[in-house]
Amino acid sequence: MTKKIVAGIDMGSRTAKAVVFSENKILGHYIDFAGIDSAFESRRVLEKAVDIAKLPRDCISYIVSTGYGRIIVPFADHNVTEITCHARGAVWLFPNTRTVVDIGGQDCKSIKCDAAGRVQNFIMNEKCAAGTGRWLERVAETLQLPLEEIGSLSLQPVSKPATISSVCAIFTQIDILMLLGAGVHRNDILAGTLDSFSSRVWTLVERVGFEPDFLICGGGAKNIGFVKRLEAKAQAKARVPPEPQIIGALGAALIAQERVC
Amino acid sequence: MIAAGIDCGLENTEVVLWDMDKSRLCFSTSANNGTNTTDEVVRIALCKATKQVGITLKEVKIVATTGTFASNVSAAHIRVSPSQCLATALNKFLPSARTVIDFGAGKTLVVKCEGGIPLSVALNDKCAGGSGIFLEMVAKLLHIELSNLGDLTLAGKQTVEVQSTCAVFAESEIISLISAGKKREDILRAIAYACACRIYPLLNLVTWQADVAMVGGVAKNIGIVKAIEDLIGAQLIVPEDPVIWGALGAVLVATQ
Repeated sequence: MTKKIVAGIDMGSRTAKAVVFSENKILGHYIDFAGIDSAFESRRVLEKAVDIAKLPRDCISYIVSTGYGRIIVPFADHNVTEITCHARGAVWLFPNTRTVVDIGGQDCKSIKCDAAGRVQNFIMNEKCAAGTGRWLERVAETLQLPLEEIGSLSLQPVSKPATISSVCAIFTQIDILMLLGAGVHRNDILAGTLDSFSSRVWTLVERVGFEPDFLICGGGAKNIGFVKRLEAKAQAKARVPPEPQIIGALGAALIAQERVC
Repeated sequence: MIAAGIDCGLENTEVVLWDMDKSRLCFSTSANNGTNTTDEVVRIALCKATKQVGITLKEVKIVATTGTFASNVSAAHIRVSPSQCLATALNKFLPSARTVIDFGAGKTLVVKCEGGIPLSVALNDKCAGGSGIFLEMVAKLLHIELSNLGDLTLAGKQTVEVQSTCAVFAESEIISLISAGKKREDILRAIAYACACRIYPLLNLVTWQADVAMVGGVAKNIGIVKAIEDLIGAQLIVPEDPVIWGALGAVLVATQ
């Protein structure tokens, strides 16, 4: 019997992710910026993931889509909410996961789940840039630093962390400019802004209820300054997957596998 | 005797000079803060003001401050809350107004008042969505002068909707709308009504009463004024020189 190969596609607001999956193994994955034409992009990331898996293009038996743009993947067999997919993907990767914190491009979520990856409670913010990747991007832009560097710099304060009282991305940008004008070192500014960011995210986690083990995913998981601070708030070590952005697509692929077999 | 009222806002600082003997305004000016400290901006504005009126800085007997950065002004004798400033200024110069919307760069303040007393207050200073700063961002995105925003907004038709309440997300939405070939004036119209929708709950919170006045920099945007008027079903009173009312109220309170 030929093994069934399935795929999960996560169409986020900023990035599109595809995971090719079979017999409980990730065969290939691909991430790219979402662009304007979602239908085209979704097919493209899937094809790239299939190519990376060194498989023929038509090998996929079943496709589940998820994410912000899940209903505009024209060739998906089924679509599932990203909350469900993230919980499933997280627990598959790390079976002791009970809390999932996802920092996406334009949203952030905290999900409480059980041992089977079923969602018990969740909260998602997609209305306000605070707590999302965009917020971090703006901070990096304001300080004229690459996004990839702000996390580690925030962990190397020169003096004491600056106090940032704003939550809003725009007002935080203004706060940063004023601090720069007052001669505060950018590491200290970053320490203050990451403190503010992490507090904001932790508020969401507390509202849903925190239970270890917890997993941090999404683009924001690559920010070590954020990860360390959230661990301090949780008083627990975080699991950060090696590819933190594909958890949703992975969960979608798992559901695809269930549905096809 | 001359007294000064200073409104230290997020982006701009207004200074008014009040003639205590003749009980009238003798000068007003507004300056962009730029990257200067509050003290520097205030000093430059006060120098300009006193020079125009023909007095020295020392002849300014009382300095009253208000606004976001009021606490930074080292020369201040008295600091007045924004809502008290507005209630006092309205009572003196716009006595028919029972409610005032102060729509500034970084905050929107709505005050219901009577006889110079603020009765209830609603404030948004946490979210830039629908703020003056947001409108500046929009103007920049659409390559329009801030001063032309209002007129262009009035020309807009209701063909477009902006879903995001967040300034950051709305920016992306606007870029998509421009790429999709939507007309600038239609986008502006949608933004104006979105801003009005942000003001509306503040008005309800204070249980607003007519007449409603509007002050602050955004009061100069006739598109926003009209959108709010449409939403509340009442005309707004927009006084001449709407940006000086905070500073004016401060000096009135200080010299009462």
